[in-house]
Amino acid sequence: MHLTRLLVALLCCSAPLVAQDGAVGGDQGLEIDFLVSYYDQDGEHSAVTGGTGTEKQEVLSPVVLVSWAVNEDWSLKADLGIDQISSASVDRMDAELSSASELDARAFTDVTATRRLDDRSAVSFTLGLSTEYDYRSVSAGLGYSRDFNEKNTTLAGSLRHYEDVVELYDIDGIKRGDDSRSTTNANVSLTQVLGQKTVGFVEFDATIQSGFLSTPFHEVGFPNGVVVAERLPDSRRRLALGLGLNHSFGRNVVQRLHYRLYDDDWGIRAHSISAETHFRLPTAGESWLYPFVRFHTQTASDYFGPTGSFTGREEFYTSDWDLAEVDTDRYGLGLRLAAPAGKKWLLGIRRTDLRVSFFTRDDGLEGFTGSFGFGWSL
Amino acid sequence: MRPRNRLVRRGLLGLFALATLATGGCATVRPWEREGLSSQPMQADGSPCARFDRNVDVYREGAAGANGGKSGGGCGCT
Repeated sequence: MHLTRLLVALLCCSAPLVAQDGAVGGDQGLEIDFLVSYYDQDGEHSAVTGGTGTEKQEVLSPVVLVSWAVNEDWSLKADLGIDQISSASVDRMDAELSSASELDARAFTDVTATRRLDDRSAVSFTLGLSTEYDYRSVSAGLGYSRDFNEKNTTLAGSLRHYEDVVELYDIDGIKRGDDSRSTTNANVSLTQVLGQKTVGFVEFDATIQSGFLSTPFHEVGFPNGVVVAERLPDSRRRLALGLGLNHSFGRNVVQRLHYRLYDDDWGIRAHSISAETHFRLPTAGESWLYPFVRFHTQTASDYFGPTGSFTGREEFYTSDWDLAEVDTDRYGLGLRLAAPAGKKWLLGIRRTDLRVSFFTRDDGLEGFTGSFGFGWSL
Repeated sequence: MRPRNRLVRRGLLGLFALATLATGGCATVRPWEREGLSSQPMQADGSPCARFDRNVDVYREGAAGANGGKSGGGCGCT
């Protein structure tokens, strides 16, 4: 794991090597970005083994992002990616799922078409698909945005609905049919220019989920050694309010701040706050180096209990520590390099992006994330 | 109150204090006055690479939404 982290960091550090001025080129409305991200974690509270086993997991996720301004009125954005996931805890399950899960993959795509209605407003349509070994999802969405106040104010709203199918692999890894899960998300956001150097954001998310919301192969230990699958309610209401503020201190320093308040009807209330300080680098193009931190705290779900805490009389129960009372920290460093206007680097690349961060959760879980991206404007 | 809650609430207070000091109200900024708003970090969307961090946060925490990332649905983890 440490060797992989080192390789990811070296790959990220190699970004400036491609930053050599090349041929002159122009932008004609097609942008293609390739991102590859790596994540690993380890801890001792896996829900797959009742909240006590290893949480060792690695994920490799390459993604292609395409943005195309078709004409003055229409634009298209598409994401296409694959997550490759290896999970030690899932591999410890018995029977048929064990062998299948040595390396699980999730393929996903999102396509959004945006039509500009006039100089101030636009409407968008989104379709999404994803599939993994035990889960399939189809989604569709609609969005609208409108500028006010000489484009100092932007109000946007969107609605998206997911219809998902869960393959029911039980705690022994045996498939017991399938079930459905529906998710509807409504989002409203307001972007307000607050001054010549400051912009603020307010975002509200309301999400309703229904259907099979448990994970069928998560174990819970009852007294007398009885082990059963977790059981969670078949509905969940989730609300989140986000506040953001970006402020420019002169030409060379930008501070980004974000706070989120989250509440759901499973008993979780959470506060998250993050800060990024961007420092302009003395390069010909627009390049920035930014350290960042994020702190998160949440209360436990009403249905969570650690190993050995359940009596067997509860209606709902889980030992998934993602739903426990936890604090998490993330800290890291990012670098964005852009070619000077009208110039390209090696292979026609116009920009590179890298970001590494460490994640800790106060139950002992530790993680590392490294992302590297580069893009073309054609 | 847990130390982390105090820290987050103080941070939130600081965020609003900074907003108040920085702005003093909602101004109408003309297009030719927007140089300080045009740099890449001033845009609402952060780095494309940040999207992966946001997904990991959704998977390892019980909260989601209102941060430009996932809000639920679409995969087995949410």
